[in-house]
Amino acid sequence: MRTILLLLFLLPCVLFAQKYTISGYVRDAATGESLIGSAILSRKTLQGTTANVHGFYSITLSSDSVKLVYSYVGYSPIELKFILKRDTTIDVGLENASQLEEVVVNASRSEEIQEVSQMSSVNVPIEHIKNLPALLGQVDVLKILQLMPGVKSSEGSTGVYVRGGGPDQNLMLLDGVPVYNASHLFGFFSVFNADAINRVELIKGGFPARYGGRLSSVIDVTMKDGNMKELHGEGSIDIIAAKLTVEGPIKKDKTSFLVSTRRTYIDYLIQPIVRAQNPDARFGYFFYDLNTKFNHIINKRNRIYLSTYLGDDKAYAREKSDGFEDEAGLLWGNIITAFRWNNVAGPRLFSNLTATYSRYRFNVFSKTEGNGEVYKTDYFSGIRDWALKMDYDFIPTPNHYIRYGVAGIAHKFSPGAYTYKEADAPADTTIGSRKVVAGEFSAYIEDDIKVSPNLKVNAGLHLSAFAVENRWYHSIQPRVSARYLLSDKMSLKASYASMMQFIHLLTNAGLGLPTDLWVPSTKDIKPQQSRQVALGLARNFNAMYEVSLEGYYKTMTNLIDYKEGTSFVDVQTDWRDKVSSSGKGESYGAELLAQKKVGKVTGWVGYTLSWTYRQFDDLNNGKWFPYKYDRRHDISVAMTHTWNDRMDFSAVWVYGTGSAVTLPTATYLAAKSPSVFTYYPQTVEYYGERNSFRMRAYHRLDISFSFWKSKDWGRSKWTLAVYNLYSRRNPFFMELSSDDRGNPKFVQYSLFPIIPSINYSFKF
Amino acid sequence: MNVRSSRILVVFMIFLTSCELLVEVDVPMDNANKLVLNGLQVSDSVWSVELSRSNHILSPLRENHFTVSNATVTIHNPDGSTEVLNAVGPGRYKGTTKPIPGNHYRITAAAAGVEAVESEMTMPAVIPITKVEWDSSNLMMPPANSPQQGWYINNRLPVNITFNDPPGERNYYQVEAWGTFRSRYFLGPPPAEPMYDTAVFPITMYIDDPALSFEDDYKRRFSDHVFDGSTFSGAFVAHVYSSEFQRMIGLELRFITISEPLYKYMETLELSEQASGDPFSQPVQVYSNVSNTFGIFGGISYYSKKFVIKQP
Repeated sequence: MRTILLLLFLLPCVLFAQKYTISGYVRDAATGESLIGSAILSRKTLQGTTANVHGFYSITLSSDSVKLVYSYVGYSPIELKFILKRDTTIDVGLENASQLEEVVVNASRSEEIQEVSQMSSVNVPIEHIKNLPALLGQVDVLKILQLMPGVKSSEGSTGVYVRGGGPDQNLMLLDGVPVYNASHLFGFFSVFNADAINRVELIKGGFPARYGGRLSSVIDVTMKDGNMKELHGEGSIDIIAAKLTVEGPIKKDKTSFLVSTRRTYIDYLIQPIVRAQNPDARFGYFFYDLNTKFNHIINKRNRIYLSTYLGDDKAYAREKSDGFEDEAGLLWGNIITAFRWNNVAGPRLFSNLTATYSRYRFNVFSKTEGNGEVYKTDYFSGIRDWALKMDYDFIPTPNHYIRYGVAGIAHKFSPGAYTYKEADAPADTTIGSRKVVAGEFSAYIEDDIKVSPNLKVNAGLHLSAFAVENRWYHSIQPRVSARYLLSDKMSLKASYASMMQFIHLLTNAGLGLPTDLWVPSTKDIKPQQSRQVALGLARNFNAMYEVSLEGYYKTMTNLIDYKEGTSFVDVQTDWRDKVSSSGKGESYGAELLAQKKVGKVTGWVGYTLSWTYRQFDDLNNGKWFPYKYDRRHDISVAMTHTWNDRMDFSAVWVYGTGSAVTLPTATYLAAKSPSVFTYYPQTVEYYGERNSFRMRAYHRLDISFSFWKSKDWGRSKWTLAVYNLYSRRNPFFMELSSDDRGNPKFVQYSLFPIIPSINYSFKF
Repeated sequence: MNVRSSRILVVFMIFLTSCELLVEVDVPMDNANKLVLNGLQVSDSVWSVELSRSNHILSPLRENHFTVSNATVTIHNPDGSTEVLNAVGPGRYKGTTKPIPGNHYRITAAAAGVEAVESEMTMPAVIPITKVEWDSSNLMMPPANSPQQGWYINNRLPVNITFNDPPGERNYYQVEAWGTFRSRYFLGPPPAEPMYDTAVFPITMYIDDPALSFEDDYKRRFSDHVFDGSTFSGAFVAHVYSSEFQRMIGLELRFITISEPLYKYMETLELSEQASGDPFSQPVQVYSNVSNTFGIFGGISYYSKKFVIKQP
């Protein structure tokens, strides 16, 4: 009875215990940069939260004395003690540990791998990316992501193939805006300039409901906001390109800017050679990109950002002869603009409004002019997007983190039109596709729920719709991922994600060339769909090592591919005539990733065992065949060793089973043509099952040494790197040829032998 | 992509393609030394078949296809009777009867040292053209008293063809045009009288109907998938030089029906030819309806309609 009376007495105290919310931003103390994903933990209650992509956090605790710890990898944690009596705003600035301790990036806690409900996700600190060896000295975010388990690529290319998916199935976001063609120099470099980037995250499965529109991965790249405290810059120069980034406050702690630019100078370097061959000729290639970002803190509750990306590649040839001037070239590039407005609507509610414009274009042109005559041809393809998005983060209690939002995108596709014009001709001749306008709409809600101390679940729903050619497609995509703590260092994770993709990329699936065409779903070509389940274990060792082991199974439907015999260089044929649609796909495998993010030696070891297949009714006689990137084994080892404050060493070794390839196996005599109107070849080459052969295995070792020097104005660094140290001739493509005696042989073409490079960079 | 632009792309690829390496690939022998049967039948001709052997892709003799002359080739008629074809040359076999449109036939071929093969097909029916119209009023003709000998403007002569498609089956068609041209010559110097001669030449003809083909893709063959079982009236275009049109005194239209296997064979064979030498094309598997081997057993039937053209 006494117990009951005691409970009745205490009940109102429990029910009416006041709860208050602590919210604010976590930033780098020196730069004001948002520390995305930093951890905030109540020591007393062991309740915690993380800062969102804008650095905002919110945690609601009982009115009491509070001991909060703010931490982030590579930064010294801060502990705050206070009495919580009302809703409180605390903006925290963390000190970069490397600045304090000069060299070694020490361990400090962020939310550890076994604790988060998200699985199949990789987050590589940008400084680690910059330290690893790079082809021709060009640090590339996508190439580092290719070293992760579950991600495949082709030689030198920035193409990304995740868990058996195609290159169009990756949602590449730059500050929230989709990037349609992320490649420079025919795919050998990506458009992401590492100097302008704050954070890169790759999600391969267990997609949270806030993401949609692609089947296989999300590559979320967040640009730096720009230093709010003082003017800083960094730059580099190497054998093919130079780049410069400057950032600083326009008004201290109020408004900042960032400008980052890069340009290659191959065209200038080769001009003397070209002119020596033909004084009337010009031939060259270059690419450039320009990132800018402005951010302005209006007040404690409101902040706006304006970020842009502008980049082009251009290859050109000009020649004068016999009174005629010929000019021809290729031009492709992206423009991306995003305006964002962050609003802290309340201590537990954060909103972000995003308005974006994105354009990708590809143009092949030629012009002949002389003797009063002009002939001009143009091939153009592209895609334009206008989008508006509203996202909310609502954190009612530490046990719930609710996100919801809506988005609308207007797409305008120009999937390939060829025009020919003569000066005297009465009209232009246009061949090819008409423009297609489409609308894409989505809404989502997800909740990261702490069901019990051991069980955390992220459950959500993504709704999407697509309107094109008087046809509506729509889908309901459930998403769920969960982790169960087996011990405080190890958890079991599982996820299910259903995805739908309304736009397709017609690609040759090998090179990532600009001729790849983005095309919409139409009334005949349905949206792609996928379903993926994954199961995994995550383990943390001494806060130094993270190990994850995952298995997955994914099915895909309504895939498209080029029909047999169609060529991506045939730009005069309408894309609808080249497409084989209603394809199916199946992928499964296991991935192991062991990572060390802190200490003198950092890096990871990754291993993938995987299978992926495709089936199209009108390809390979309707039988299932291995996808081009079906590789049984993939291994990657990446490490950086920091000797002291003046020198570090990095190495990357990769191994992959040879890519699948289709080769002829026999020849035979063709039937004689029944018509004089049709020419038949005499000999036919018989191809066996599609992709039934394997190229040689791919492996490569890259190394780099970096030498730092402190200067009055900052730091400088010389980097000596060698790509493909033992000059392995890795296969790029194969064809039938002959040896010196004329005997038929298969020939393998390779791209990059051993390539040394030198790079000078500086930071002030 | 025009030649120059393609060249830029190729030059870049070559620039980046720094090395090549001969590699040994273990290609199985399964598809070498197989009996290849090519039997293309025309409704107004006797049975005709060619036999040869396939070669391994890495054989030094892969371009030399050995004919097979000691084979037994048998046509199995729908009524159960058979006809053994006669060897008439290296790898060539001919019969004495003609295939009948609409009938279903089976063929078997056996020779020493190779596996026997067989196939079957239905000889397509003859589909008559019910109506033909063309309009030459828009052809660009040389002006009167033009000093030019002839105009070589590639004119488009619109031709509209109507026919009744049989319902319930997939049919495949092709239209061919043959022109009879009159030419004038003199046996001696003036005042020798002009002499006239005639000759028959093929005229390039394409589909010009958006229901069957995109504009300007120069397609000749089409199927009835959009008009199955109905009366079809479609636009075609014959490409005739003005100066040649002025000499044309006759036009023959051949409306060809093609058996399904042959249609597939023709389409894939032409695609394979287009893709040949382009390392970026998807490889083409040429269609075959001959069991366990390569080749084709198919037929065409045609309906012919001739017109006399009165020149001024």
